[in-house]
Amino acid sequence: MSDKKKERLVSELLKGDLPAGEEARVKETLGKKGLDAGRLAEYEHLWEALAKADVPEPSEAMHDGFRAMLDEAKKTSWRSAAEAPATRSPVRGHGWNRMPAWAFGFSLVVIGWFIGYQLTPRPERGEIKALNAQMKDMKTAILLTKLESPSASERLSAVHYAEDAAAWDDPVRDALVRALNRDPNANVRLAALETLARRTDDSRVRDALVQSIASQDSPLLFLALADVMLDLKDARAVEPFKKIIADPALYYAVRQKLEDTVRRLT
Amino acid sequence: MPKKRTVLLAAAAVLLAGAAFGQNPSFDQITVPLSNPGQPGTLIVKNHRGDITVTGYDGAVVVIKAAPAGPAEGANRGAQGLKWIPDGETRLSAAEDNNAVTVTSNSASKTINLQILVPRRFDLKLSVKDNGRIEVDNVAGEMELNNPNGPVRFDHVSGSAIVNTVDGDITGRFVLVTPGLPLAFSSVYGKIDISFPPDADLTVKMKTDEGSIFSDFDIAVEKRKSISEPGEKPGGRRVSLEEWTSGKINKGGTDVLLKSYEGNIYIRKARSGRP
Repeated sequence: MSDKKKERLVSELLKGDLPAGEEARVKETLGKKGLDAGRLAEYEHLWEALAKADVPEPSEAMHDGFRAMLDEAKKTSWRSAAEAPATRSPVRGHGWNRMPAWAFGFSLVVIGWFIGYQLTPRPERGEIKALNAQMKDMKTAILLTKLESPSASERLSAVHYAEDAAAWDDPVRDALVRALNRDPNANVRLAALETLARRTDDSRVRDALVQSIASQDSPLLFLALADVMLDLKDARAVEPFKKIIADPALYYAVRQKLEDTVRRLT
Repeated sequence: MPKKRTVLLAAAAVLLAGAAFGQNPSFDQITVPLSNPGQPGTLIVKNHRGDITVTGYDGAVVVIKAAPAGPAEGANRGAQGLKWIPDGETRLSAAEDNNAVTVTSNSASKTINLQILVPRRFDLKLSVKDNGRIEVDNVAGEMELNNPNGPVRFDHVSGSAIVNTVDGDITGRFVLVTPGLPLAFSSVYGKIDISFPPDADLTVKMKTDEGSIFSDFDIAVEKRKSISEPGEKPGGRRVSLEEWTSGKINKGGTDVLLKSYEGNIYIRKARSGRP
């Protein structure tokens, strides 16, 4: 038995519409379907209470009141519709006086939009920042990897890469200093020196350049470092240069240049 | 079959060497087969005392010949009418690892001249310590050539080159330059004379303290841009690099650095016949 049917049977049973024989049978069926006698008695009770409740008949007075309210409402809406064009137009008659208000309103909209624009978190801005940072990390990683390459051409191209200002940071600087001191190829060391020499506003770069004099063995680097030290007027270079000059096997022209450098720095 | 081929090559090499060391037929020879024949390889000779001559050929093995250099000029005074008899040994040895061939000839005091045949596609890392010249012909690859006390010469090469000397001249001619791989040539006293293919796209950066720069290319010379960063810290100074001359050959591209303190710099359009 479907719920709908059950419902109908129960309501008929409660109203007392069912013939006497049917009533007993329905009660039995409902009992089988899980609706016990106690539950049924409760429903019967509720039904009776509803039947007894007093429902007032609508009176004449109520009817008149409703009419009056309806008429009033009709009149009001008609009147406002007729009056509207004259009083509400912003451009005609007194409308001009409201211009400041309109301007104020408009400026509120603009200001609101502006504040909203500023306050709205825009993910794409952060994304661009993150992308830039990632690009820089990648550049640094490529540069550091290339500097370890067995190919001198690759290492040289890495040093050229570091000339790009965007790639400059601490790890790059340290890698260039390592290249200047330890790269097996003099041309790579020279290129690293040229790149570092453009960053001498960083005191750590200046220190590294002075320290690297002692670790050089190529006349090309002696001469290039002498040029840089003269430009920096860094007197700390005097001692390491004097040690190099002390080597009897030094080329004559290189010795002359270094002696001149030492004279000008002291 | 490889054994037979090596023998044949060795025989050919003996003939070649006989011609090269005409006055001095006494030499040691090693033939080095490669792990991956037909693939590019690398030849490494470090701190050698004597000449290194490398020639590319169409073979698949590396052939190394070593001979003690003859007596230096003036050393045979009192030997008129006598024949020089080579003595001592070249102590020549070679090792191969994954197509990288390292050659050593650790003769304590003797000057040893090396003549090496390599397959055409080979990278070279050659450095002479003393008493020698470096010569390279007909090789395609990356070349790293160091010779503080002597000259470096290369011809019919393609690829890239990084060359250092102190008092030797650098003379070279490219058939082809690998785009994107930087080239560098530097010397203290030597002149630098490099010929490039007329259509090569290069960005050249040149500097010589006491020499001059010459070229038959139309080089669009531009002033070197100095990086300007505001807020220079007190005590710090930016070194001026304005004395570098840089410019573009054709469209510009591959970086070429040329630097000599006392020598001239020549940048030429390559013509066949003359390096």
